Amino acid sequence: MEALAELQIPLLLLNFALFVGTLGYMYLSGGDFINSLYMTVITIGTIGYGEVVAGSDTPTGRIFTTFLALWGIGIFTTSATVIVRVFFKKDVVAIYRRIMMLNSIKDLKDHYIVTGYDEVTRWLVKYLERKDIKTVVVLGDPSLEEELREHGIDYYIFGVPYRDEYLYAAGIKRASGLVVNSRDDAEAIAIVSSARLIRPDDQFHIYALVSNEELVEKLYQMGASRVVDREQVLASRMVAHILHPESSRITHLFDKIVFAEESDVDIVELYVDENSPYANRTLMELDIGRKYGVNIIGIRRADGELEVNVRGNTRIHSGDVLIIFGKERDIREFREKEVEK
Amino acid sequence: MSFKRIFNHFFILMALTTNISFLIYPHPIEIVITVFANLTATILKVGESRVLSTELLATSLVADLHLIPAIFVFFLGNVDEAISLAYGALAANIVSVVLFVIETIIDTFTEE
Repeated sequence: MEALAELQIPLLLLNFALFVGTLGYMYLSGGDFINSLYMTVITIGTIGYGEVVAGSDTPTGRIFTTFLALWGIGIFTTSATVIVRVFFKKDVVAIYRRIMMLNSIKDLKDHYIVTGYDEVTRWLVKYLERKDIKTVVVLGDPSLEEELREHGIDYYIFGVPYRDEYLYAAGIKRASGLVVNSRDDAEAIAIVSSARLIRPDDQFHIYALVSNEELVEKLYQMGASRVVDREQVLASRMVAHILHPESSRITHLFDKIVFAEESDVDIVELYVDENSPYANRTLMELDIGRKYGVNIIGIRRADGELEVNVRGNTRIHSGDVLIIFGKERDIREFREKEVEK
Repeated sequence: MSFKRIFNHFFILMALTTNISFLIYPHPIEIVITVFANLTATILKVGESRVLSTELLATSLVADLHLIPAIFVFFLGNVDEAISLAYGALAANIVSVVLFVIETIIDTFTEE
């Protein structure tokens, strides 16, 4: 709708010219509205069939017509030009496409919003897409539209990402989370705080990708669920490859699983609270490996210790986090039957 | 103080008040001014991106689509029909003013 704002001034001027012309001829003709409107239209529209309304052929009428034509014709031609430009310029296709896209975004649920656009955003959208998670990219530069389409990004909004209206348009109320990928520190803070004010609940996760170490703590305070220092992550991942050169296949496999590159297998964490049926039971008693085909490969104990040597007689306590590995389909079934029941 | 807002609010109210004055005294000049005020109020709502913009534009369009036939019917001699159409426009204009008041309240709270 904002695209039509350009029409306001020409339409107002046209309306005013029609009003003044009609009222003037009505005064001259003694109240003949239909002919007065007709006379105004043919005058400012440069048609000029003649003096069709009574009183317009008098000296007063001709003075009025002269002045009406002088500015009325200018207004008419300018308005016609603006109207044609708004409706027929090539942007009209883009405007239509954006309206359709905004309507599709309204139907999205449990999606992720990504603010900022660069290579990282592209990979992010691609990886989430593999897991059937939809993403809406909010970015500021409309000239990138072609590039977004070329890279298969279906949902995007051009606007200032920290302003509430763009976050609402991206469906923040229905989204599962937000990824802040901004090189501007102040913008990252503004986005995280705006988003957290709209969605203060725990169900909405805010992830921030930053390049400034000092910003990490600030963003946590603002309500970010997880803040990642991009340089530090790259370095630590590279160190993992350097330190485990002989197990590169395993490192590669874990990379694929953890970073969602492998679509078939998955690894998840499950927190065991005191009311959980798993608390104070052994793995043998639970027998989830046989029931669901998933494996508990490790347990992070409440005191922070990671236990990787898990056996049938290993006992689970409340406060533990189970690390579960298996086929994505089996993990989904396990979650549906055991966790979300 | 925003002059654009004054201009917008002026014409939204003007659309209603001229509509009422035409109904009280159905004079030819009154209906021309009513149509002008209503069309201006509509144009001012085109392209706005405020909270209730679409609803405000819709009510204004309803008022226009009553008043434009009313003006032709009036000058073709059917005054009663013109007045009944103007009553329809009055209903739309009242809704428009109510929406505009709600929007102003929302705006005020949002700004705070």
